[in-house]
Amino acid sequence: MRVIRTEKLSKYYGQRRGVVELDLEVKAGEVFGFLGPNGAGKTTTIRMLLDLIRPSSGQVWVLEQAVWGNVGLRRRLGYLPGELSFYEGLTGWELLRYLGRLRGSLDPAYLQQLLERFDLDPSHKLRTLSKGSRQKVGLVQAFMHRPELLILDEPTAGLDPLLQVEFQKLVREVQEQGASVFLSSHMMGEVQALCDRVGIIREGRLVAVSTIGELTERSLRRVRIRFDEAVTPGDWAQVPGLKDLRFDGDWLEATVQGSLDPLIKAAAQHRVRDFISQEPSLEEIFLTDYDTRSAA
Amino acid sequence: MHILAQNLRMGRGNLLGFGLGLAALSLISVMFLPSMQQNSQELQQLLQSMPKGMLAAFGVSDQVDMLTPEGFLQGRLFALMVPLLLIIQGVGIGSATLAGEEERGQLELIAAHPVGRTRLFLEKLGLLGAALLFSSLLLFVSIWLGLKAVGVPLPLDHQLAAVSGSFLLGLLFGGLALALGLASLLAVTAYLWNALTPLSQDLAQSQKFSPFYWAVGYEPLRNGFDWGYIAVLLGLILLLLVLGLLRFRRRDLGI
Repeated sequence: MRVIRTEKLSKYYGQRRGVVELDLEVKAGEVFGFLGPNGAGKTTTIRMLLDLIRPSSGQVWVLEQAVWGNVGLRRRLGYLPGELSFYEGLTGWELLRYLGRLRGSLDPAYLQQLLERFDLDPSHKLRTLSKGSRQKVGLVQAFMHRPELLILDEPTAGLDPLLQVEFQKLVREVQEQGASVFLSSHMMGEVQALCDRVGIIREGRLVAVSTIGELTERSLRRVRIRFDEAVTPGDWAQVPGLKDLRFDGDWLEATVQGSLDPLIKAAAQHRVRDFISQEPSLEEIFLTDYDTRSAA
Repeated sequence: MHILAQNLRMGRGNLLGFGLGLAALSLISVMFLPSMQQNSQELQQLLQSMPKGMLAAFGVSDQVDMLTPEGFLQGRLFALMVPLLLIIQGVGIGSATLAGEEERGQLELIAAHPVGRTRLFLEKLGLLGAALLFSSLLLFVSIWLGLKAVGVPLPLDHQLAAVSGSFLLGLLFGGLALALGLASLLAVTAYLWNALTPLSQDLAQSQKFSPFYWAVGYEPLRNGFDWGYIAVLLGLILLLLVLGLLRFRRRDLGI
């Protein structure tokens, strides 16, 4: 089963591009990361999945059903908007109860458990909450009815690292219980930690879909190593995957494509004092992606 | 009905305040009736000294006899003030509850729940209707009690006709705001059309093409219900809401 399927899905706002001919497939039971810089069309896509905005052309199926006007379908979805705006005068409780009523039922025990996990006190007015606490309210309402498919727009924005870990645990848990998760992000790290597969969207077009493993394989990394003594260019040219080698006293600097293993093996021949590996930024991943495409 | 109930709960302070304010204002005007009747000669002199155009702009045309209780209440309340206040309430709610919530992003979370567009629209319309009905009810009760207190007998159905007309105007322009997101300018135009066209002989007949005339311009306090006008107003409101609903079902939410 495909929990999400789009076919040549396009959205234009007048002349302005939203997304262009998107073909997307998310499998049941999968955690799928939708990765792209701000303004790439992630939120536009997500809003079409929820039937909040309508496609200019193309088709969308969610849980194998057409989304247009499909109220029953939304009962089975959990949604976290990218920008949360609440009725600020309500308390967290009042909002959660209201949303529960719209869904028809609420499991108080599970809700309580979620509140405890995220360390959220819902008795305060929403307008008094910090950005992080607001995000927690958003996450709790998305998970509280145990949806089959969670659609989360930038779920960890504003969460501190401890809660990001808690969020990741929760996602894995619901995945084990059979739910699927579609989450958007502009941070590689978050996606890497959570997702089985990733779709990369750029300027409204889906430029690549791959497993996390493939993505990391393909990606570039900037590595700096400091040795005990000055290094010489000598043997390093033979190490596979190294580019832009530079030497500066006892520092070696290089760009590594794919696995770090050959470099680490070679470095192990010497006494290493420091090793710095920079996670590739999203832009660098895009660049590699385009490089491999144009090479093909 | 959860959406309607929640919106009523969130707006109850405003609703109560608005309704009470409207009722108090009307009651004060009614309480002035006896002193108007005592000083009718001075009032007449005052009215005669004012330019006709200015009086008309405030809803007091030649036909309105300010020296009768019906005319006095028409001039003070139903020609402008009461319909205007109900229109303000209607347009305020109509535009805040859909367009406003869309603009603030609040509707996104609600619309992503298992709530159909039709239900969303109708419950928001229910909020508009309930609010206007509540204000109109308080208005009616205060006028009725006020007239009793000062001992001026006016037929009950005439009172009801004036309040109903004002209510329908609020619903018409509130519905316009709900359905299309625009209303204020049209409301002003409709009012001025009704108020000022009688001044020009060429335009005098066209006064009857303003919703203000159908609702309160024909002096319901003096003439009672005009079912034809009520039907026209209701038809217009219905048409507008059906078009608004059809559009709301199809369009993107502006979030």
